[in-house]
Amino acid sequence: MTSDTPSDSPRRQVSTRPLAGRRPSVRVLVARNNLARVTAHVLLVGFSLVTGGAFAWVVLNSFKTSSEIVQVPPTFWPVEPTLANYEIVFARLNFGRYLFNSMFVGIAVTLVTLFTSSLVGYVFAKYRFWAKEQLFLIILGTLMIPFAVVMLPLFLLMGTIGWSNTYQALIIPVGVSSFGIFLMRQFIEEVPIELIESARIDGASEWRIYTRIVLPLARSGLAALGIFAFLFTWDSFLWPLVVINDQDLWTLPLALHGLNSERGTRFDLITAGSVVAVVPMIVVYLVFQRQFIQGISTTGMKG
Amino acid sequence: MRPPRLTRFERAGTLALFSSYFSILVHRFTGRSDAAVGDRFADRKGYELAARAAKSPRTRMLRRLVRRPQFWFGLAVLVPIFIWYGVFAAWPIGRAIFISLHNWNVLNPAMSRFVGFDNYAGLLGRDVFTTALLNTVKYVLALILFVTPLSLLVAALLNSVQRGRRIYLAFIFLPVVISTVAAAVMFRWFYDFNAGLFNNLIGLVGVPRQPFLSSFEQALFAVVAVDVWKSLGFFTVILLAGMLQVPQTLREAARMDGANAWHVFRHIDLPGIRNVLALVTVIVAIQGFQAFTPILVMTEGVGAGGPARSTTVLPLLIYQDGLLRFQLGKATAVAFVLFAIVMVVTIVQLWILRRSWQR
Repeated sequence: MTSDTPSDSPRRQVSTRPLAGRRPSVRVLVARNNLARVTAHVLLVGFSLVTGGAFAWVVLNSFKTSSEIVQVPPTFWPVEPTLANYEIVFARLNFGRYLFNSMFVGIAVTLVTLFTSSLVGYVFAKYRFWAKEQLFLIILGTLMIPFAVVMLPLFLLMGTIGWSNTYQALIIPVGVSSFGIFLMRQFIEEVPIELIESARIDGASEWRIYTRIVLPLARSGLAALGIFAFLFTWDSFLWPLVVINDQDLWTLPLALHGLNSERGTRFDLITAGSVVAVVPMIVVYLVFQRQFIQGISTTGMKG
Repeated sequence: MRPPRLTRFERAGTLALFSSYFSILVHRFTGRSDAAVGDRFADRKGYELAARAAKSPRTRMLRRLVRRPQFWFGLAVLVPIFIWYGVFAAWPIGRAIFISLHNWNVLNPAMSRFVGFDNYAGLLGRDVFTTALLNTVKYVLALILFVTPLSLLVAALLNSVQRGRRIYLAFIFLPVVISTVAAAVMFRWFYDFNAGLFNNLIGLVGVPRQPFLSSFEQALFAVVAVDVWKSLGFFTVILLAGMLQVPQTLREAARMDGANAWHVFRHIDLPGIRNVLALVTVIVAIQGFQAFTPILVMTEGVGAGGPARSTTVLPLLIYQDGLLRFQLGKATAVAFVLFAIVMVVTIVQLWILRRSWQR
C-alpha cells in the first residue's frame, strides 16, 4: 500500500494531488453535496420511469378495448376498462396451456440444472481424480460455443431420436449447465472439508454427505443458480422455436411470437399476452429480489 | 455398523480371491469405511491371497482407489455427465463441422455431396453474408456504445445516493426479468407508426412521425434500443457491485478535499472498477454477437431481417439458411464464422478475468 512508483494504481494518486490550496468552506461543500444528490435522484427517477414505465404502459393498455388502444392521441387511463382481451387470450388463444407449458418446462429445467450442477460441482470441488482440471476446462470451454453452432445438428438429432415436439427436447438438452457447474464448484469449495471427512468417518455414504451437508451449505449458490436457470428457461426462445412445431407444446415466448406474426396489429391481444408472459416472472422477481441482485453481483464479478 | 452379508462367498474357499475383491465392491455400497473392511479381512485366507496378488505397488494403489466410496460416487456422477456433454455438445460440434463441409441434403443425408471448404469460400461472395456481418458489427458497437456508459452512469448515480437505492434498483432491474419476446412485441407496438407510444410522445414536442422499424436507417438501432433497455439493469448491478467494493473512505476524503462528484467518479470510482468495466464490455459484446430474438420478433413483419435486410445479423442468417431455406451446409459455415468471432472475444474476456483475479 505504501509504494510510490509511477506504475502504481492511479487510485492512490488522488489523496496527494487535488486541490490542496483551495479547500472550499463547509457551507459550499454541503450546498454542492445537496445539489449533486438532488440531480442524482432526478436522473434516477427518470431512468426508473423509462425502465418500469414501459411495462406499466403495457399493463394499462391491456385493459383497453381494441378500438381505444389504437386511438390517436392515446388515452392514459382506460376509458372503459375491460377484461375482454384476457378472455380472448385465455379462451380462444389457449394461453392457459402455454402458461402451463412454460411453468412446467421452467420448473423441470431448474430442478434438473440444480441437481446436475450441484452433484458435478461437488465432485469437482471436493474430489481428487485424474485429469480433473483438464476435464473442468472442457466443461468451461463449452461456454464459448454459441448456441447457433450446435442448434442445427441438435435439431437433426432430435428428429433422429424422435424427440421433436416433446417436452424432453425442451428439458434434457438444456438440463446441464456449464455455468451452473462452475458456480456450484465455487460455492461448494467453501464447504469445510473437515465436515465432510468427519461425516465419512461416522459412516455416512457419499449420497448422504451430498444431501445432508453439501446441499444445505451451498444454499445461497443454489438459490442464485435456480433463479438464473428459471429466468433463462422462461426467456428461452430460439431452441423451442427450432424444435417445437406442435402448438400444444408452445411455451409463452412461442405463443407471443405466433400472435405477433399472425395478428401483428391486434395490440389489444399483444399487450394482454405480454402481461401473461411477464407477470409470473415479475412475481418470482419480487419474491426473490435480493437473491437476483446478489446472485448477479457475486457471479458477475467472478465471471 | 451393519454386519456384512458375505458369508456365502466366504465359505466357498475356492472363490477366495474373487470374494475378497467382490466384497470390497459390496462394502462400497453399504458405506463402511476402509479400516473396517481391512479388519474384517485381516484373518482371512482370501485376503492373504488377494494381498499376494496385489503385491505390485500399482495394483495396490488401484485397489485402494477402488475401495473408496468416493471412487464409485464420482464415477456415477461424472460418467453420465460426460456422456451428456458428448451427446449434446461434442457430437453436435463435430456434426456441424461435417455438415459445413458438405452440400447437405436434409431429406436424404446420404445424398449429401462433399464440397470441402466451398461453403466457407462462398460466404464472401454472398451479399447477404457481408451485409449480415456488417450489421452484426454495427449492432455490437451500438450496443456497447450505449449500454456501457448508461449502466456506468446509473451505477454511479445509485452509488451516490443512500436513500431509495433499493427502490430505484428494483425498477431499473425490472426489464431484465421481462422475457425477450415480450419486450420485443411490446416495443414493436411502441414503435408503431400510428398507435405507437413513441410517435405520439415525439409528436407532443413537434417532431414528425418516424417509421422506426420499417425504415432502412432506423430499424437496426431501434432494435438495439430495446436491447439496451432490457440489459441496462443487469450491467448496472455488476458495475454497482464493483463500485461498492471501492472503500467509501477514499470518496469521503476526496470530498473533504473539495473534489466534486465528477472528480470522485473519475479518479476514484472509475480506476477502482476498471476490470469490472472491461468485463462488462466483453459480456455485452458476446451477447450482442448472438442477438437473435428481438431481431426476429421485431422485424419479421417488415420482411424477415428488416427492410432491405437492414437488420439481418449473423444468427438470423443462420436461422434463415438452416431452417427456412434448409441449406444446412451454408448455415453451419456461417455459424462457425460466428463461433470464431465469439471465441476471440471470449479469450479477451478470460484474459481480463485472469488479470483481475491476480490482484
